[in-house]
Amino acid sequence: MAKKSAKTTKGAKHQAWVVTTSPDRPVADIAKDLSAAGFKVEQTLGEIGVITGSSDESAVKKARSIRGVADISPDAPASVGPPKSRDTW
Amino acid sequence: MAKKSKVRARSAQATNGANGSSVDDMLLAAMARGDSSFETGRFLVTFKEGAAKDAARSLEARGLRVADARDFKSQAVNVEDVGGADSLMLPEIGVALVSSASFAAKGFSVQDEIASDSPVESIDPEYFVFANDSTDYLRGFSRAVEVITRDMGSGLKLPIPELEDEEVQVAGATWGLIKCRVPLSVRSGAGTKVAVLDTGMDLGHPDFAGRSITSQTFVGQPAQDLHSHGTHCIGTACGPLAPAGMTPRYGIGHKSLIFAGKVLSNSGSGAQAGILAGINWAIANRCTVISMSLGSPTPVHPAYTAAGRAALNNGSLIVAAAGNAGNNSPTGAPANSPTIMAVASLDPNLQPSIFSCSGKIDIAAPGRDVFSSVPRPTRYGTMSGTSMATPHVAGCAALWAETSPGLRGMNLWNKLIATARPLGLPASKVGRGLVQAP
Repeated sequence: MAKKSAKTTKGAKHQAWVVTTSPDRPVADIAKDLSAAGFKVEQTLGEIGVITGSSDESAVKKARSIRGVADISPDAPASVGPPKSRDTW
Repeated sequence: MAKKSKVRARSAQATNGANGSSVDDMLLAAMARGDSSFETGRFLVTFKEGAAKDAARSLEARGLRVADARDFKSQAVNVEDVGGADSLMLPEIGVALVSSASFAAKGFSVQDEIASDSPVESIDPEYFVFANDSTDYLRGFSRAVEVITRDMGSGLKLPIPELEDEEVQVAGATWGLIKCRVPLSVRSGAGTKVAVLDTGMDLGHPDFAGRSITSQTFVGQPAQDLHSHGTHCIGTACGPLAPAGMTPRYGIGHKSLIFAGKVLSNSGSGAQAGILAGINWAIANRCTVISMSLGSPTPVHPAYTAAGRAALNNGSLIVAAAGNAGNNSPTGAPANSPTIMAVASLDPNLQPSIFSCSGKIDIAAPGRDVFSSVPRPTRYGTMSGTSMATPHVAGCAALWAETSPGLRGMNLWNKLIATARPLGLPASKVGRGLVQAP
């Protein structure tokens, strides 16, 4: 039987996501549910109630309905410009 | 010895302010004539090697009364004790000090053509010398000279300079610190933890030797700053009270405990995941102020709003740069979150910098041509941006936090806003105004 890896699945583009949780549920429980939904959890930031990780679109769709998930948005990188530049952010 | 008693018999304080002047008298006299050259008014005549024997004779030949250090026990001469002598010979080093009155009167001049057969090597003005840690004195002296000179026309009065009214730049601190009234503050940020989330820090920078620095990376590269931005921002927020040499003071919380979180790589960029991890770390470490001179030109991000709320609930205040996309562009994230203080940049004339974003702005601070620390070997550099304005607010916040344990989180936010200097400009450009130190 051919092994079907996630990478070869059509349309399974993995992207970095940031999950904002609501405080009514322990963030560790929410992280567990996210993993079960196919979301690859990378960081669980307990002080701020944020989980970061990567996932394809289908897992994100499932994850949005998990209890305690307030928001899932793409990771938005920041920049201050190249080194030793006089003009910055 | 007859010579010694002859010298000592004279009054120690000459009334004509020549060799009998105390150093303070000479400094005041220099101020009164508007002289900031640091010349005392006296002169030093250096004699050629081996010509010392001829030295005293050559001075006496010019009509000078010469006191000799050898007349004093162990040559321990107090220059103020030579009484009515016009000059003091220091034979061990072959130098004679000549009073200002005698110098001109006896036909000396620094422009003298010295004959090749003269025992004199060189004739030079004497200069005031200051201890290296007397930058306060030096600063005050320079400022006093400038102010007294300006006031001479309206009759001499002892001025108390109002720093914000002074157009003259004080040599001892950056323009940004002066506008924030930092040099006047007695606060140091002692006991306050200040986190700066950026490109890390030059951990070996000499200006930070002996400081409490906790560093952590969130980007897979060592926390050592190879970019420069992080070191510059940390310098503004937490730099030393008296940097080495003639370097002006550029930092605010000079006793703050530094938490350098590397959330941006050495190329200057970073994933939001790393930035959020940095905020999480700073809150976990109970940092009172979290300074973020970074952002993305994106709408309000819920995770940043949640982070800002968590910070405030835990006695931390996050301040972030509004962004440099220009004053027709909206504040970027994370500064645009309602739970994070957005900082705009001001020019030295206290107008908003042309690059400074507008819209959601809470406060403003100096951000144009800001001098601060950068990684070795360069050590110092000047940068512009809302990135530079933000650590001014962070540093002032640290000073305010020191004044009371109650000034944390939202209370600290409110205090910064309430004490900001109004600028008569729209809130969308400068918020409530220019941040001020306690």
